[in-house]
Amino acid sequence: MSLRLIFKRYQSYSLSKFSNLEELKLNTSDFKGLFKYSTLNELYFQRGEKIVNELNLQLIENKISPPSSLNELIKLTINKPELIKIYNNATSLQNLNFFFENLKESSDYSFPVIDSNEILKSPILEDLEEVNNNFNIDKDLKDWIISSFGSILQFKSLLLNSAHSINGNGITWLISQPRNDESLKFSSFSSNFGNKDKLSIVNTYNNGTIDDSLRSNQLYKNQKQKELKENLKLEKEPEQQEVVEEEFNPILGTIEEAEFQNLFNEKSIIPLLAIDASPRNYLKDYGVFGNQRYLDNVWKCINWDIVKQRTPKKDSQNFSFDYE
Amino acid sequence: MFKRTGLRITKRLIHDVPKLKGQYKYETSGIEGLYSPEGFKGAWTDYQKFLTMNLTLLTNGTENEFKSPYQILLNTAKQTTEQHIFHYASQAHNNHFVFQQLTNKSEASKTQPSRNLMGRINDMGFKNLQELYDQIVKLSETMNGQGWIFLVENPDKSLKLIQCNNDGTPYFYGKNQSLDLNGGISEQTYEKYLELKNQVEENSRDFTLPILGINLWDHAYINDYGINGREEYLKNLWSSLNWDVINGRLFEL
Amino acid sequence: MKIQNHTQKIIERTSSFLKSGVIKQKPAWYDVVAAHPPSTDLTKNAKILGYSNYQDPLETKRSNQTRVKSKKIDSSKIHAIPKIKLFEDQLRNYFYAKHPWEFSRPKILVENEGNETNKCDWSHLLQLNKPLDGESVVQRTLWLIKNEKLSLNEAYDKSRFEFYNIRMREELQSLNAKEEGMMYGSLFAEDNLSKGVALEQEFVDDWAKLASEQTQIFQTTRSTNKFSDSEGNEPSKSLFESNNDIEYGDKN
Repeated sequence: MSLRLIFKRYQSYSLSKFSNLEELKLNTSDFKGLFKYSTLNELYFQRGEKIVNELNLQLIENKISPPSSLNELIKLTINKPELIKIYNNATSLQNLNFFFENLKESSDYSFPVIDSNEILKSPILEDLEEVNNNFNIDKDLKDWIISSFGSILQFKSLLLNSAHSINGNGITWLISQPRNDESLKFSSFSSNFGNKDKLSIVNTYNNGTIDDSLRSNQLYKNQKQKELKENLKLEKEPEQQEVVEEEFNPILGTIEEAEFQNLFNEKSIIPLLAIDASPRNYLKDYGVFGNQRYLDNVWKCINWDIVKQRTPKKDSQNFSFDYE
Repeated sequence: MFKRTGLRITKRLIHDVPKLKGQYKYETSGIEGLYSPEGFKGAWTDYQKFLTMNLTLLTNGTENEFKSPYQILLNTAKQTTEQHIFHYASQAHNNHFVFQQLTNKSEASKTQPSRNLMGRINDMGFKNLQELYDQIVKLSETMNGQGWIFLVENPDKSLKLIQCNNDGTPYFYGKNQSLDLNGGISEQTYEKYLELKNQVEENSRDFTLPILGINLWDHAYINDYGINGREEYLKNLWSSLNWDVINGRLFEL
Repeated sequence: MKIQNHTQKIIERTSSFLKSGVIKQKPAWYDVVAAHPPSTDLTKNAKILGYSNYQDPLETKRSNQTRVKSKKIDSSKIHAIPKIKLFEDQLRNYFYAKHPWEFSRPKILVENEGNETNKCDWSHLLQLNKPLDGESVVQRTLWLIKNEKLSLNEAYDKSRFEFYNIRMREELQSLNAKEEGMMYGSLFAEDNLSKGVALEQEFVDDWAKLASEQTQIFQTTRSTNKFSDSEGNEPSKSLFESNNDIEYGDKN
């Protein structure tokens, strides 16, 4: 596959301009409930700027005229090792945009000094009903979450615990993915979002992209390619081909084999929410011990209207990953 | 071969932050030319406390309770259900390893690689230290996330640079974590992956030992150099290396 | 002479001894004690522990009996260590009855000084000196009852849910640490699942061998039984047996 983009003129990417963030930058005020101004500036504006500059520079260096959407660019570059830098910057930018897009300021906040006692602190227990009642979001979305995870509290603890378990850089995503037929049979749930989709929580690390159709079967592809090559070699020297009777192996296959065989079909995954759990997000304002506190604050700062906007529409079942 | 004889120490202890040489001075005035007191606190005192406390919580009442982080990381490296324990053990060990080799800039400038070490570095194809440093910077640029870079000694006494993503350890190939499979996987990466897989299946042993470590985790530089300050941090780190310590790590007859 | 321990009877007995001539002379204390007989028995006797106030009075006093039988004292009970009943034990039993899998976690019983638990501060559930287990939940419950004035149920529920939360967090940590490591090229020779399957397979193989032998023995004895059945009745067969018949019939 070659990049068939020569017809377009050079185009460069820029950092998404979110009106709420721009306003904060103008007044150099804190992102209430989550980040101090200096941190926000470094996390979003400076880091974003750096990524965008590198990306554009590399596009020019490699003489690539990029497609209009970042997602297209990722699709084009993911399987090209020589363009790895472009891919890395493109996903970084996309993930950064996506995360900051689904945040809004929240009213109650403080940045206390968090010391080592935080590790031993008992988790704050929440009432199932209370969490449910305080979770004021679009009713359809709420029902969908409850039917997928059992309750809002369960959803919350799974989401935040998943993010908490990320050691290095990474993002926890809420995604909508098509149900496989098996689970469809037993599902009594039907909603406006269509029977075929269910919500799940997934982690990606470093510059991983959430788009499963691109990401998931990489090893498989490589294996196939290698087999193909070896087969070509074998055809040249057919005398080497020997039929070896395969021994019956009663042991179950590895997870890898299972993945190869059936897990990753071409799934169209739609990301709805991203929580960036990388250490850079909490180290500055919350300190080394502040991971949990940071995530608790993120929960309060999620903009569920945006999440709702990202959900697949009622009537159409074919979605694209694009957003702008 | 080197079985420990005599009494086994069975006193139950809590993992705690080891005291560095000159720790008190670092706490009050930082490491000159590298860390401010706050930066030192974030990278060492607090982070090491965070790691050892978590390690204590996870190993309490288990066989790993009596062991040092180094022993724990070797013990858990192959266990699929104990990777979270591995994380804290490996990080605690690596961080300690790196901080041992740091000193004030003025003192660091008085030290230099021994002839033996320099000879081995030359054997790697680097004419001088600057070239080695350039290579480390180059490697650090390819590492997008958290991680470590180690200069290690192979069983045949040659040296090489390896990068360990996240909590990777230089001691065991199965947990080097020098691949990044998150993005696109190139043919080269896949070959390396297969090679590793073979090694693991053959259960071959690993005798690699680290000589020099570079910490690329955000924790190491975020307080003093900011979120995007990795390059500057690396520069200062390079001039704060105590080569006497590093020379001592090289096995000499 | 038998050792006497009934002080009140001492005058009575001495009198009868005098009368019968066992003792010739009145002891010096005789008149004084006769004038002021001891009102209480000062000897100390071993008591039977575990006597309950709620026992049926009829049963113990036997007031309607004319002759009181001397009670036989079970000496083993006197020296038995009384059972110490603590409230914590009930909680502990309850917790472990409800969470039997907690027993499957290995536990080190070695202690440094025996007072490790004294170092614990139960204002939080996690302790640096002791692993998180059922005992933590019990101690935390007691602390909550004492310090936060919660009722037993509230306190137990609170500490137990804290326990669940921490366990959930740890479980996800373990799962995702593995996943994260694998994304950076960690490789494991075998995972616990396949190890378990392989171990199980050994036993399954042994069993399969044994079972086929047994089946064969069963088959042959049954076929001989069939011939010896003089009345010619077909022995009752289950569905499975009939299948086996066909299979083995081919072999034979």
